[in-house]
Amino acid sequence: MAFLQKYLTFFKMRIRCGLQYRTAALAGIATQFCWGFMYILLYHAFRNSDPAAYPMTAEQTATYIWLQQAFLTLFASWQLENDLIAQIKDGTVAYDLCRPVSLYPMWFCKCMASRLSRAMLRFLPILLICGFLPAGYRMCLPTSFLCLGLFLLSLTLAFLLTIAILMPVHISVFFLLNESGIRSVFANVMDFCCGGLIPIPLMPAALQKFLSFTPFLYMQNTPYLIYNGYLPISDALRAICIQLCWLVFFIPLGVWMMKKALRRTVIQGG
Amino acid sequence: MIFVKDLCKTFRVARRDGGMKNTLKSFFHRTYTEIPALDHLNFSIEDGEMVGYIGPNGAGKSSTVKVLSGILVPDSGTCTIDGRIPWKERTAHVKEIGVVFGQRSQLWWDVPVIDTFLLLKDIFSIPDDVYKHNVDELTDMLDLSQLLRTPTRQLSLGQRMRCEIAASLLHDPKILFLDEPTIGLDAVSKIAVRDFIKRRNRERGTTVILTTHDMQDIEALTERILLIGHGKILKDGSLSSLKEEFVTERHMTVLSSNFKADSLSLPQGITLMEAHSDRAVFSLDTTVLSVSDAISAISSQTEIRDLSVDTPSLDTLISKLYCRYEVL
Repeated sequence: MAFLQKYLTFFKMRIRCGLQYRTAALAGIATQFCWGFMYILLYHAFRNSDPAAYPMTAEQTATYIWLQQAFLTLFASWQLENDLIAQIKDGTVAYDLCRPVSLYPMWFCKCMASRLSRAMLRFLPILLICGFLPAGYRMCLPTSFLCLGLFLLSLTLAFLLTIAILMPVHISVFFLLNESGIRSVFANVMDFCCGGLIPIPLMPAALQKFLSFTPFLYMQNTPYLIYNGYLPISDALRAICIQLCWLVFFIPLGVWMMKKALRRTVIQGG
Repeated sequence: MIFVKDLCKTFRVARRDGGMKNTLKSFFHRTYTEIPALDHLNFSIEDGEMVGYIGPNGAGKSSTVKVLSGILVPDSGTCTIDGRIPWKERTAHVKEIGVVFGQRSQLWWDVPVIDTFLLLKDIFSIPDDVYKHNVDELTDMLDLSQLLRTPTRQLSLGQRMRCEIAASLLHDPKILFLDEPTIGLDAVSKIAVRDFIKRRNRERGTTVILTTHDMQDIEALTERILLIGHGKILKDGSLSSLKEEFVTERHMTVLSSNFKADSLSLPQGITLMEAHSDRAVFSLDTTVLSVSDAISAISSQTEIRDLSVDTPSLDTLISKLYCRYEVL
């Protein structure tokens, strides 16, 4: 327990820091409402033109969009941990290395905490209000408790997977010394492939097939589709297993990269 | 016990001349220069010692501290601290050391200092009673009571440095590395920091390794000096023996009412540096002429109203040392 205590304290500290930004949260909520409405209007327009060709019901679409807006900060691919990057660039990482903790889990906690703290301020108001919107725009309840349980499990795994994939991006700053290139390329590709721009069920079949071989399909997309009932329970269980497999792949990859990076790292200057 | 043998670390630096043409050229072909930051470094430090680690900029001081604290992996050579190799057993090693990098901060910027302390308590798994005792003691000695509840960003540099030093001592480290701890501090803060380090060394037997460019730090704190240049230890000795060896010059200021300093006949080893109507400054080489002989030679020719003999500053000594070993 003492071993975990370190990381837990660190996690709580980061959460505390993140919870300070109330104005940002309010502004975020407002933005996410606007985006959400815009998306729903857009997809309803598509759906009305040819309901047979559209893969989801109006309720499923609205639910997907609102979940996406509510948990945006958990999965935001463009949101790298600027603290960590600044630490690598200016050498303050030297202090982290003078602590009896492993850097990978510590940084993982930091990413988790800052995303969670941002999400904690936003998701409840969004989900609450969206539950009382007129039909067609309303966020629906899950079909069963099992469905809710699987959604929560899958949401957690998707959250961990997002961070596990972004860890190598952070670590690459040790080698690249500047993150702007990798940030802009990776963030956009990842955002699109995860269904951040267009829900994955709306993509062409060939692209969906391709994405099923990548981890991206199993990030935010999976829990939302479990919640809105698009994925039947059997498919949901399969998706959760695949989420676990990708986690088992990406965490060791990050740990290995970190080890490599620290061996060759030179903290420059005085 | 710190033991360093044949430690080497070379950095590869891409160098080019300025200008557009060279920038474009370096796109296709880069010339690298190998800079030996540490070149077969050897020394050992006993428990409870207080050592000043000095050398000009770029001599390898910070690199050594980084290797000793386990965050830089050397190319070759051995280094053991209490039987451990710092970069191989990093987590076990860092529990026993405290580090202050004067130019960086370990305190969380937006939250009160005490929050960082609490975080360190858990990170280092410090027991409650030890933590409480140490915080009380450090608060008392470094006068932190008002500062702990202030967010780091609102502290002055001197206040922050006192908190940084306290933060690195919460876990009772046996060895304390201070990399320019007094950089940019005012006189009062400097003295407070020095007194504290001295007391810690005396009362707890903490080994202190101090790198600094501030010679008053060295004079106030350390008995032993390690001089590093070009990645090698050039001189290892006590401050007083270095002074004896290198500072053979004295400045003698003589006050007199009727002074014709120019017309004095001076014995060998003494030269006139400044002459005023009521005062003259002589330079004396003590290897040629003793201080008492010099005084009697002058007093026989003029009436001395007042007299002072000064040793040149430690800065002069150090710059002499640097010149002697051609490390600049």
